[in-house]
Amino acid sequence: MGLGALGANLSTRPSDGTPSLFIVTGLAYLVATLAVLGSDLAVLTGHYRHNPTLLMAAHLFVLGFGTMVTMGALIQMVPVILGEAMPSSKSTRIAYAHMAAGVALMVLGFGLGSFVSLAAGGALVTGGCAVFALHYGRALLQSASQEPTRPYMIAALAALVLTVAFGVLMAIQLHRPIHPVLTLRGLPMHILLGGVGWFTVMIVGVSYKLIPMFATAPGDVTARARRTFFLLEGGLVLLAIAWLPAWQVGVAAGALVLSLGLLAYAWDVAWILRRRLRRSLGGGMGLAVSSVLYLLGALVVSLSLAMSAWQGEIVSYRWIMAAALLFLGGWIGAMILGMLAKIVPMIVWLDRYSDAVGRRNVPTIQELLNDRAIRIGNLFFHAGLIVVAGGVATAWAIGATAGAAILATGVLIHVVTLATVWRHRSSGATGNVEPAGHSATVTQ
Amino acid sequence: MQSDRDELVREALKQVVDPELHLNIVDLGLIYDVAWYDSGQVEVTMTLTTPGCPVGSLLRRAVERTVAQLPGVQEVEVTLTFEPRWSPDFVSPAGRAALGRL
Repeated sequence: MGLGALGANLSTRPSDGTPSLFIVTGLAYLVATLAVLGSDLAVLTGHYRHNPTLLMAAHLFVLGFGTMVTMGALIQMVPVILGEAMPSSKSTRIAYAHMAAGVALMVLGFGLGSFVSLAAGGALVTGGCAVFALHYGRALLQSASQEPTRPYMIAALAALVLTVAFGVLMAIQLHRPIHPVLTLRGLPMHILLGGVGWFTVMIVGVSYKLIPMFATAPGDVTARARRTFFLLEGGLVLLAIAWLPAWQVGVAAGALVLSLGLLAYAWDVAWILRRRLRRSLGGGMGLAVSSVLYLLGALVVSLSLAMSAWQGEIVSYRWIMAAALLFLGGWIGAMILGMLAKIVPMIVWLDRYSDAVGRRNVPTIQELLNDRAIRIGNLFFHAGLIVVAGGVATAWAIGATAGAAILATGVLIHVVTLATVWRHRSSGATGNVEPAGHSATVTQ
Repeated sequence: MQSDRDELVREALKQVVDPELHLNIVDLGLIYDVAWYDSGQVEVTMTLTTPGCPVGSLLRRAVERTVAQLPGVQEVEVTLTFEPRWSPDFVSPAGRAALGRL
């Protein structure tokens, strides 16, 4: 695939370290998520609704980690998708400041039960997301690029703004009731917009660009990407419209179309991988691709629960938690962590070595990352996630606790391994690059 | 004679390696055409894996320097094109074999 996929265009890539800032902060929030969950593991097998620890952990994960890392990756990728330089990155730095501070305040608000802190954090996060979405949304809308990923990004950014705005409404509802439907049906809507509208749509869209490139797989995916986009967005919009007024037929139809979209995506990933020229994907891509299996697992569990609810049965909150773990940890977490194992070395390589290219030997991008450590981290990640989800679903507390510890170990291995890549960035001036072992990259 | 010189350029360009794939740009299929004129001018038409991409300035510079070092070369002109768009279909059999070993 080459460097193109990650914005290696020296004339368009950001040079102020903003992507790294977002990503490093996102990883710090990921570690904070583990710390919060680790402080009270019993929440995994307890009831989730309005549980402060879970609210803290969920928002640290989805906003602090998932959203901030995704934003950092987008800063790197949007110029590539558009094929043109982006305007000043002042907006992204404003978004960063808002997000970094806002997430911390929100989490404090959940933890301390402080409405003021929650409101302030929510306002900052809303502002950060709005600035970011406006900046990139406008550029994407104005672009003439025919990349199939472009509509995914536009739709996902719109969903991000809607998600945080809806979250703010829900927070206000807790303090001063606006409408009972927000209490009764607001949470699933919030999760749908964020989990599917923002993360899933963005990840799926970017996957259609990155997976064929990283796997070096021939074949045009444009028609497939467009078909999946219409299924996902069609299902999402129908589901969202039908959910609040409890229009059951609409909800069922929306869920069906959405599920078809997810299945089509999984089918396409398998199709791409079957055609790949690159036999070994590496640890990062291995984890990213495996996330699709967790997505399918979460889909099966969610549809089963929905069918039970449709038939009037009481839905077990433990299984809801298990589905959430598969979706958040397995789908979003594995995909983002896996992609980071490709993106971080790329960003560091460009910042550190691009000026030395052609003048002396520099390491390959792969050499910046300890792929063996990533693969070991993957083993812990998969084992831990499966055990913790199973433990939560079956109320097996020891299993849930052990699984959480194993999962945390896997995540920490990834974080530490990624952190070591940044050492290259600060290891001296470009002109003093040490000879890079046996490698001679883009050299003469 | 002409094709021998073009082949010389292609062989030299195998020293230019994509830093992510760790595969040279010739086997990657990025070099579309080479023309070596009697005046000593060499024209290389190449592409990049994606239009927005270009380690462009990196690869282009590396191509210019590499070709310029060949004996008899007076001037190098590198033209970037995205017609046709690069595809993994363009990877040579040797490149495919190398990717399979990665």
